[in-house]
Amino acid sequence: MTRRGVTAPIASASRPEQMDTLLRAPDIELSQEALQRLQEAGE
Amino acid sequence: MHKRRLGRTNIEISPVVFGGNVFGWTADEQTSFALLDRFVGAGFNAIDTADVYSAWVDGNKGGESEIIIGNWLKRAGVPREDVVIITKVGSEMGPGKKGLKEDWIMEAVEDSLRRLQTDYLDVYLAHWPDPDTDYDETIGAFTRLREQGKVRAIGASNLDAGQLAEALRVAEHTGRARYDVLQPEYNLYDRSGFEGALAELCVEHDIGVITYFSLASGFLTGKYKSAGDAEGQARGGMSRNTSMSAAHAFLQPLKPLRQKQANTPRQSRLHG
Repeated sequence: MTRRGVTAPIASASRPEQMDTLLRAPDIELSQEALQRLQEAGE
Repeated sequence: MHKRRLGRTNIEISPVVFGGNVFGWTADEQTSFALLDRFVGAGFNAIDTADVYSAWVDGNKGGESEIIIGNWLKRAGVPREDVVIITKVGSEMGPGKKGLKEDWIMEAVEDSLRRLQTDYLDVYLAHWPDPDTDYDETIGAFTRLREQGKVRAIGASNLDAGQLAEALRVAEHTGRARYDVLQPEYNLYDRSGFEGALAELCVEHDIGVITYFSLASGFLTGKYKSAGDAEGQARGGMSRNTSMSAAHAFLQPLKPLRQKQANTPRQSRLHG
């Protein structure tokens, strides 16, 4: 969701109880450290 | 909810798009209705599907996902303009029913509109490159659909940078509608197909990008702890590029982050 050029990701759920995390995703604010760690994990 | 403009189109979408490939597969119709009710009820608006979803399920023939979405639209009474429907054409729907030639696109769009019980699609995507059809023909067909009001925006899925550049060149040269939306495979684990030339091309041309396999079919949620967890799970076989050992090795260093943020893996991976 924060990646250059990306408008929005597709995510899905098969059960209603899986929806909570999906619906809350846009409200999560990750620290710069966290974003950096995610970036490095994918390199 | 803060919406995001989809490239240079006048379509605004929620920051997460619901993947409708589960409808008629891992979610039956009633469950699908509940999922969509929750999604739209929370202020989200964009739903991704394709004509071929979910033809891979025994007993299905394709179109099941669109049918469920159409039934939900009718049942839920949601104003059509409050929902952004993204669907695709090009995958095989039967003998001779595939690809991106004009005749098939003009037939397939009517099938999708009927299944979705709507008179327009917000975004219509070419599902896969068709080596047997020139971009000129495909873009010409899409342009006609836009002119007829059956499609608001057009785009493509699974193009590389060279293919997208060529499609844009053809559209500009012929004065026809261009691809304003791209749907590439992209996630934290598998970045190579989008980052670099393709991402820069999209930024340069203000193309809206909706990524699929954003959670690597569940592997990046951490729900598959071992190969055994994925066995027998419907979506366990969907991740073409994610081996269990590699996914486990990838997720391991992120555990402290997850604990610190008190988020679930799904939320963090969508941000990455």
